[in-house]
Amino acid sequence: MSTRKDISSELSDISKTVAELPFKPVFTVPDGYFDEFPLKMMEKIRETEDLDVDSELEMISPLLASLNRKTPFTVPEGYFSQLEPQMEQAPAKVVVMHKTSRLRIWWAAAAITAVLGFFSWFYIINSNNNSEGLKAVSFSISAELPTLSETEISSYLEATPEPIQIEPISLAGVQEADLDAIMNEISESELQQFINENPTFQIENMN
Amino acid sequence: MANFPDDNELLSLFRESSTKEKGYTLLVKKYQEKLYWHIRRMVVDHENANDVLQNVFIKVWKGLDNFREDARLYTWLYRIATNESITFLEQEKKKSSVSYDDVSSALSEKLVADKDFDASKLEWKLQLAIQKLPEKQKIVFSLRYYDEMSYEEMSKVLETSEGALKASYHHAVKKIEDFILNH
Repeated sequence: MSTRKDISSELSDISKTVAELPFKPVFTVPDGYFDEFPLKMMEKIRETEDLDVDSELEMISPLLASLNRKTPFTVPEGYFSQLEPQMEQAPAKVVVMHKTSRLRIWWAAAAITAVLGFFSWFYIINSNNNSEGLKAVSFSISAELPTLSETEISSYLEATPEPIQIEPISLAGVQEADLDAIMNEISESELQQFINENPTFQIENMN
Repeated sequence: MANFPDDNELLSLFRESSTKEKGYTLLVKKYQEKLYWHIRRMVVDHENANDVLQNVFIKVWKGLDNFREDARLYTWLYRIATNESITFLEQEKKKSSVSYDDVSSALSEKLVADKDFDASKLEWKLQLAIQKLPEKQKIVFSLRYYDEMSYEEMSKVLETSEGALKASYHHAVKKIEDFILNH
C-alpha cells in the first residue's frame, strides 16, 4: 500500500489543481449500517446454505428447538404388527393410471395431424400456382414463336453459343409396318449421310 | 479502527468448521467499510452498493476455501468487489439498453439527486468529474486516490501492467483537472 504522502506528491506532479482538492467524503450511509451488516450477512449466508433440521429450527425459534420432539399421540397396542397382515389380505384397488394421459395423447395427435394437414394444403395450393405460372410462360412462348420471322430466329441461333441439343426422337405409337415403309424410301447413302451429320442421334421405343 | 486478527489468522479460523462463522464474521467486519466505499464510488447509490457488497461477501464465503495463499486476501477481495461492481453496471446497461456514456450520465444524475449534493462544493465537483471518466480510469483513480493502493497491488486486482495503470491514472487526473477548471 502507498502512503497518502506519496500519492499526494505524485498527484501534485500531475495536477496541482486536483492535489489541492479537499479530501472529504461526500456519501453517507444509514446509521448503524456497518454495525448491522456482518450479522445480516451471516443470516443471508445461512439462508443460502443447506442447514440441517436442528440448526434451522434453532435459528428460527430457539424455544421450539428446545422442546422434546416426541409425538404425544398413542396407538392401540400391537397396531403396527397387525397392520401388515391386514394390508396383505385387503384386495388392492386397481387404479387406471393412464386414462387422462391417453386422452391427452389423442388430442396431441389430432392437433399435429391438423397442423400437418393445413401446411400440406398450403403447399399444394402454392405448387399449383407455381406450375400454372410455368404453363403461362410456356404458352406465351408457344404463342410468340410463330410471329417471329426466320431472320430473327436465325440471328438468335447465331448469337447463342450453346450447341442446341437434339432431343431423342420418340417413335412411340408408330407402327412397325409404317416404319419399314419409311425406311425403304430412304437410300443407303442418305441414311449414312444423316448418321455422319448427327452422331448423337438415337431412336427410342423401336419395338 | 478496531483491531482485527491478521489475514492468516482469519483464514485459519474460517477453515476450521467449529470457528468458520466466527472467522467469516471477523473478515466481514475487517473489510466491509473499505469494500463498501470502493463499490459505492462506482455505483453511487447506497441501495445498489449494499446489494453489490452482499454479493461480494457471498462469493467470499463460497470461494474462501479455495483461496490460494500466494495472493493477498486484500487484493483478492478488491478484485471480487471490482468485478461485481462492473457486472452490476453491465446489467444496468443491458436493462436499459444504453451505452457506457449513458450509464455515466445516469450515475451523474444520481449524484446530483443525492440529498447532500452541493454543486458549489469542490468535493462534489470531484465526484461529478470522476463519474465522467471511462470505467477503467474511474477504477484506477478510485483505488489510488481513495484506497491508497500501490500500482503493484492494483496490477494484481485489475490484472493490468503497472505501466498501463500509471498511464490510466495520469489521464484520469488530467481529465478531472480539466472538468474542475471548466465547470
